[in-house]
Parts: sequence; structure tokens; C-alpha cells
Amino acid sequence: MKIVQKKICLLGDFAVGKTSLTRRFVEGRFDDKYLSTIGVKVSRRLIEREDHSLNLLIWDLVGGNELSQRETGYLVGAAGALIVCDLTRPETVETLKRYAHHLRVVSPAAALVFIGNKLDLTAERMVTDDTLTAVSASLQAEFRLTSAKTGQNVAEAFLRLAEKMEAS
Amino acid sequence: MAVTPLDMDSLILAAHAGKLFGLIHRVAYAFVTPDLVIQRVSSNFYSAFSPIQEGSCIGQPLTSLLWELVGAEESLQEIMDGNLPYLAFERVNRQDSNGRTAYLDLSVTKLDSSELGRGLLVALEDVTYTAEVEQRLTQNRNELALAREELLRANAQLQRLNRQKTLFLSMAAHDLRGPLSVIRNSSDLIAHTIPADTYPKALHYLHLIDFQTNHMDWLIRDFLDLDQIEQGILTLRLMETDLNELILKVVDLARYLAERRELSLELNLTAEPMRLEVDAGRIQQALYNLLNNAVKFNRRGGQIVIESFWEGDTAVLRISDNGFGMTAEERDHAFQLYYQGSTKKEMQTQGKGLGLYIVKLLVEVHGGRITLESEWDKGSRFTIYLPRNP
Repeated sequence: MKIVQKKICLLGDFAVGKTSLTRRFVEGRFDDKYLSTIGVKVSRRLIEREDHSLNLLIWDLVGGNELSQRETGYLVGAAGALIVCDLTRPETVETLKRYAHHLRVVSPAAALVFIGNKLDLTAERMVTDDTLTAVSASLQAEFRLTSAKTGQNVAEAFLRLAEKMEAS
Repeated sequence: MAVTPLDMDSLILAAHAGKLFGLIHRVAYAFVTPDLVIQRVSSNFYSAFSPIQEGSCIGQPLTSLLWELVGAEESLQEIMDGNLPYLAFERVNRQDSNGRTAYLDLSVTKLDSSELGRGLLVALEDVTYTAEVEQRLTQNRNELALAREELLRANAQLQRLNRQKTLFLSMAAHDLRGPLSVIRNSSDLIAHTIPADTYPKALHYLHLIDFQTNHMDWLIRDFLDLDQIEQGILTLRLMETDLNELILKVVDLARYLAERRELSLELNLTAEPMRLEVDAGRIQQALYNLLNNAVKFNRRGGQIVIESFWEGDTAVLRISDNGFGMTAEERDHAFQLYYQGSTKKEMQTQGKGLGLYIVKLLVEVHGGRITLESEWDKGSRFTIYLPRNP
């Protein structure tokens, strides 16, 4: 069966759960300990499509307020991106548009899905659906709410991005 | 910096330089054909991809070993065509055979040599040592930032709760004023209509009602002022006032309780006029709180001295007592909102930790200041300084 390879990037502020989402999707596990990523870690997961296999190369990038030249270079060749915010930290929503802008400059055709992560922290949630709807609508994108801890909607978000990449 | 293609002589020179400077063991190389197939590698290349076997990658597609280059095929072609000088990815995370994260800087540039032909040179530098330091710094920075965000959120929540509490107190204080006013008016009415030869105990109880309703009124004023101060909407009704007259009014209010506790009240007021533009009600309230404290925290038979005098253009009002005084810690926190020292607790005076906080704020909104001298078991001295022209 034919294998297609696609590069996707995970973007977002530090500690929003990019590494945890990747680990949950690729390895099916979760680790509560926070370990800052520097540089990039590329993981792979093969998913089966109707008539082919899709090898997702998942770039888990360093999180921070500003993407440096080095980090912008990581976006080269990305077919799609998941841009992540933390539902318990409103300030992480403010940077979603900036990451989307960086992505569009380097990879204009890249597909995009926003993620509101840490859905399991119900009592601490401070970001509403309306806020995420407004941000994603302004960039003609969509959003998903996930929990890397419980696994809720994680695979669904990655698969939705895969669908969008293949449709474009 | 633009990187130009290297020939083999340059590579040999680079290898010698790297060896002499102790760098070569940290950099591994691979030569890749234009169709991105690995043709040659340096001997240390395999260690970067442990546990693959030596020679096993020759003839393999570059992206099968370096999947970080998937998606970058167009850029690699541009390097081959001379349109792009190089491609570099820094701090690429790789897990070694022990599960430890290694960090590699990956660079690709064009190579055109007589020995190898035309292709791409891939360089992998092991930067784990410096990257680990960088990781620890980043970790610390991020954890600090998270802690700061957490503190800011907690602080905002506390402010909201404090506002709600003050609002509640303010509403309760407002509601108390109505019934209090009825009690006071009724007691006044009785006092003015009761025959002079009435049973002495009845007169005593009337005085008691009068004193306690006045005291409660001052407490309510404190709560209402606290609300206004916290909202930043406290307004002063300034008018020229004789401060000595205010002192006499306050002494009159406190006299009943002082007499019951057999305290002597000594007045030492300046004979000069003490006229200042102040909000008489607020200054009276501040003086009442201080005098009330001097009465409460004193021994039976103790002494309270009230003074007024000028220091240049500053009016000075001082209330001293020889009561219980404060410990150093209590003195340091005396003007803090809701602070209650151990002395107060021991004496069960039911202080709210509100009075001195209000006094300080009321003096400060008049452009003045207040000082406190106190010694445990010897007494306290509060001095208010009010400038003539704040």
C-alpha cells in the first residue's frame, strides 16, 4: 500500500501540553511531570487511510512567547499544524493568532486546527468555547477541545488535521 | 552568513582542524546523492543513530534515517540547484539507546568534489552538553513564569473576595444605621424627659445606652469609610475647624468609659488657636479610635494624656497612655488591616484590627502622618501630624 508522509507541527506557548498531546497520540500514555522542550522532537505515527497509509511526522516544538529565526525555520515544509492553548490560562489564547501568522508566512498552504487542551481541569477552566470560536473563525480554521491526560479528543484532533491536509 | 560549497581539500582541512581542536568527535558527516540517497558516511555517523549497524544505511533514502528532513525535499533541491545556501535545524531531540535525550544540530549544504561527485553534505553536531544547560534554564524560566501566573490569578481572586467582603460589611453597616438611630433618639428623648430625681441606676443605664450607641456609630463609620477608601471614592468635606474643640468632643464621648475603668484623662492643649481646614468628622473619628484604644488597653486606674501643640506649620495631636503597650512585632503591624496582636487576644477586647488602619488612612488623606511609639507593659504614644498647607 502506498505510504504518504506529511509533516505537522505543534505550536503554542510553553506548558500548554504540546509534548503531552504528541506522547498521548504516538505512545498512548501521559506523564504529569512538566519537562520543557527545547529545539524540536520529531515523532512518527502511521495511520491508515482508505487507500493508503499516512505517515505523520509530528514536530513538537519549543514553546515560548516569540518564535525565533531558528524556530521559524522548523516550520519549513509543514503540511499542517495544531496550535495549542491551555484552557486554564487565558493568556495562552492571545498568542494563537501569532503562531498562525508565523505558520502562514513559512507554509502558506498548511492546514490548521486549534486545540484547547487540559479539558480535564474542569474547575480551573477559564477559556470559553466562544473565545476559541472567535479566534478560529478569524483564521478560517476550527478548534477541538482535548485532554492529553485522559486522551479525550486527542486522536480526533490529529485525524481532523490529517483530513484537512489531504483535502487541500 | 552565506555557506558556499566545499571541495574535498577544504573538507580535509576542516577535519584536521576539528581533530586538533578536539571538535571532530562531536560532528558526524554523510554524503548524499542528488536523489537523496546516502552514499558515504563518517565512521562516527552510526553512533549518532545507535543502535543501527555500520554500513546499514548506505544506499538508503536520507529521510529514512533523518526523518526530520521529510517535508524539506523542496529546500534540499534548491540547495542542489544553488538557490539556497544551506538548511539547518538546531537542537533536534533524539533518544539514544539508553532512553536519554541527545540534542543534535543538523545542517545540509551542497558538496561538489572530484572524489565524491555532486551531492549534499549532511553534518550532525552533538550539542547535548550545551543543550542540557539550555534546557535547565528554559525549565526554570518556564516554571517561574507559571508560578507568577498562578500568583497573579490567586491575587486577583483574593481581591475579588476582599471586595465582596467589604461590600457585604458596607451593606450591613448601612442597614445597622437605621435601628441604631432609633435607639439613640429614644434614649435622648428619655434622658431629656426623665425627672432629675429618678432612680440613679436608671440614669446609669441611660448613660450606658448612650455610650454604646455612640461607639457603635463610630464602628459603622469605620466600616463605611473602609469601603470608600478601598474603592478610592472617599470624599472629604473640608472646613476650617478648631482641633482643640474636636479633642474636647471626643474626650467627652470617651469619658464615661474612662471613668468606669477609673482612668484619669489629662488634657494638655495649646492655648493658641488650632484652626485647620480638615474634615471635622473624619479627624474626630481618628481621634476617637485612638482614645478608645488608649482606654481599652489600659489597666484600671491608668492614665491617658492628650496633647495638642504646633510644630512650625504643623499641628500635632498626641495621645499617650501608660497601659499594656505593644510588643515589637505588634508595633510593626499595628496599622495593618485586620491585624490583631496577641495582647488584644489575651484581653478579649474584641478588636477588629480595623481602627488603626482607618486612622492612618484618614490622617494620610489630609496630607498628614501618624507615628507610634510603644513598649510592652509601659504604654503607647500615638502622634498625628497635620500640616497647615497639605
